[in-house]
Amino acid sequence: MTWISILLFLMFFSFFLFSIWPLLWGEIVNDKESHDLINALERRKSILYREIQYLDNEYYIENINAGDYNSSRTELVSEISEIIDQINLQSSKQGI
Amino acid sequence: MTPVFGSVSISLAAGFSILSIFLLLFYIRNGDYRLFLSARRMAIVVSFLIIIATFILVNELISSNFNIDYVAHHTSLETPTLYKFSALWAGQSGSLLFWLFILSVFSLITIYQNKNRYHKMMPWILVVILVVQLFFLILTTFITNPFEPTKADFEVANGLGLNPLLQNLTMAIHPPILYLGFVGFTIPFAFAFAALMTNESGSLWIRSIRRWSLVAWLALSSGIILGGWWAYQELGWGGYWAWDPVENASFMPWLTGTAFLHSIIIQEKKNMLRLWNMILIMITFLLTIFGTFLTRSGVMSSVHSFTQSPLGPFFLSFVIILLFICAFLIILNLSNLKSEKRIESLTSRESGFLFNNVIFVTLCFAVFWGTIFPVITEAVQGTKITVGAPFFNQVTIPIGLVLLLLTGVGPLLAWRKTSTENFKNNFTLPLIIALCSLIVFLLIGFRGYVVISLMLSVFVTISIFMEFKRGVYSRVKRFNESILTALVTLIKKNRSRYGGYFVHLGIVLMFIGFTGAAFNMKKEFGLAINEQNHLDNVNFKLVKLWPEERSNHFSWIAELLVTADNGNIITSLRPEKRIYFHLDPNPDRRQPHSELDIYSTMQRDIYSVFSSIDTDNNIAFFQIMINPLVRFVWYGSYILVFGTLIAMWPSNRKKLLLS
Repeated sequence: MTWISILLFLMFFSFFLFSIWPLLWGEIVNDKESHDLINALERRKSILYREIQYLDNEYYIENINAGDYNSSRTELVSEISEIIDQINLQSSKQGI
Repeated sequence: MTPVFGSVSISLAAGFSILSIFLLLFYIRNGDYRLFLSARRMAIVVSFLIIIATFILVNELISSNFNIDYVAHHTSLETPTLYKFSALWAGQSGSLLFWLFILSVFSLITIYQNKNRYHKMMPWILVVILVVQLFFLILTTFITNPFEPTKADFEVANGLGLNPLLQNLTMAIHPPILYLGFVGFTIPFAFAFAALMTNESGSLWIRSIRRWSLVAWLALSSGIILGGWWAYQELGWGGYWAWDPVENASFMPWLTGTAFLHSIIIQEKKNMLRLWNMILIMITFLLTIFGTFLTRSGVMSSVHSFTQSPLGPFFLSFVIILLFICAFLIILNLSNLKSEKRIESLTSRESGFLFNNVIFVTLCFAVFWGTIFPVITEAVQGTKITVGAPFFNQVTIPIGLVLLLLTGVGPLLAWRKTSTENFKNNFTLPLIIALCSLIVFLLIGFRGYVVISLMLSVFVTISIFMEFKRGVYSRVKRFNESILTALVTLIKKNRSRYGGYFVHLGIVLMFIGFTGAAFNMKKEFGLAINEQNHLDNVNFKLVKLWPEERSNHFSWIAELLVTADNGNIITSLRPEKRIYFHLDPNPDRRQPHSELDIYSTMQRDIYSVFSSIDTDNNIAFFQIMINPLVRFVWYGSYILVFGTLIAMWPSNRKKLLLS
């Protein structure tokens, strides 16, 4: 066995060990998917905030009429409040 | 010794990627989180191994290890170090390894960025990335290994050297940037695929890949422009776009990628076009693989197909399998992908976006058809029928002009419905100015597409200017800001929107540049010392002609004095006729190359090519071209890049929530 082979073997072995290390741990409970839901809601909330800002801007530059502006803004605000309720609900479930 | 490491690294990476894919699939089935953690580590190892292999190949290229076939074929002792480095992507196996390298870097970034996010989608995202990596690893391990030893029963003292056309700074950076774009679309595709597999087809995945798509799109745009710049500066035919199959291969995903970037705005804002977006990103990704297939399979001969290879069937099979899987998944998720809302009016911004998407896809289809037509005719009839630039120009110019029109109309339309009052407010001024410009252009004598293109350019410029003006004045009125502060704040607060307008402005400038091509002029002539000839109102006099010996080539240099009709000196041009590998005893290996010289102004480019030389009579032959407005194309591209950077610059989310 040449020293190149030894080096190659060590390289392979260390990578392999690094990869399978988590399999040697005890069982892990994955509760992260529920965090995903909160993250998703948070992201949706920030998108909607941005939308309101955008809508306001459209209204101020007179690119949308008052009727459409008011109805769209009300829709966005009610969607945000629904999302905030859902975030609170999920957070209380997880005790955050 | 090190080549063995390189070879083993890519083989190990292939092995690890298979293991990782299996572990991820098991995790998706039984939910044991340890499997996911282990698989994720394996994905990291795969990327590291590929990066190590790439560095090893670069080291071998720079140290001129001609015992490796790839190094011996693409570099020589005389090749400058920069081009030894760029030889990494000059050949087939090296470029595939480089493809893998970029994907590995992107994979590591994706894993790091989403360490604590998208726990449901992440396993599928990794599966997709690993499958793509595995495909390229199989190619580089079994079909075209960059670490293959040189097949010679003697010591190889020197390599064949790099193709002279590739010994150009632009060419050193054009392929990697283009590859960034090609590979970059793998990540949005992986997210889309994961969204389908996990029923998360709402707007969440769109949000997460917006920046990735912009990065890929910017890289693809820059790569295409640099390719055009290289062709213009280096190939000597006086143009920047020839509808070459490989140019088309990068243009097609650019078109669908552009459509995607527009339509995700609708999904993000209105939760509409969900199915359409899914189809678009999948087509874009498939076109990037198809593009790599066109570039590397040698299925079509073109200036880019420097290598011919047995890769074609593998790529084609991969594209077809992916196409079927994507189609199957979309059909399976059809009910989830239906949008809850519908477009309310034809005169809404949503409709504008949809029209723009349809036009982009139509244009892509036309280019696709023109590109694969020779292959189809060869397969069906046995003879290759090529459709050249006239076909593409005939089809794409009118479609392109419609796109230009929509670039101006889109931003003027209101969301949901544009009222009559909005129409009057937004369209009156741009239309009046555009019509006035039409009259002026007609009086000047312009006709046909030229006049339409210029008029639409005026219309779009005014509409963009009006958007900025309205935004700025609204801020001035509301917040009592100065015009400059209002402008900066307006852009900062609406980066994607106003960044997009800059991109549109860049496109307008590029269209003006394209229009200039209608007035190109060309002439070929031979000149002895102190003789002169002319093209249009420009005279060319040969004042000097001399040979020069350089490190890796021999050159004949001509000095042309360029004067106007009234005798005023415009410039002096020095085109060269070079012979690379001139010292090679084998005359077949000596490669002639014309190094051209260009005098460029906003109005026109004077383009000189030293075609050949009659050394017996000391007569130099030149090809001279006058190309109007070419600079608009390059300036337009700078603005396009600037606008994209503004659009993709991250905004401060905390500040937004506080506001």
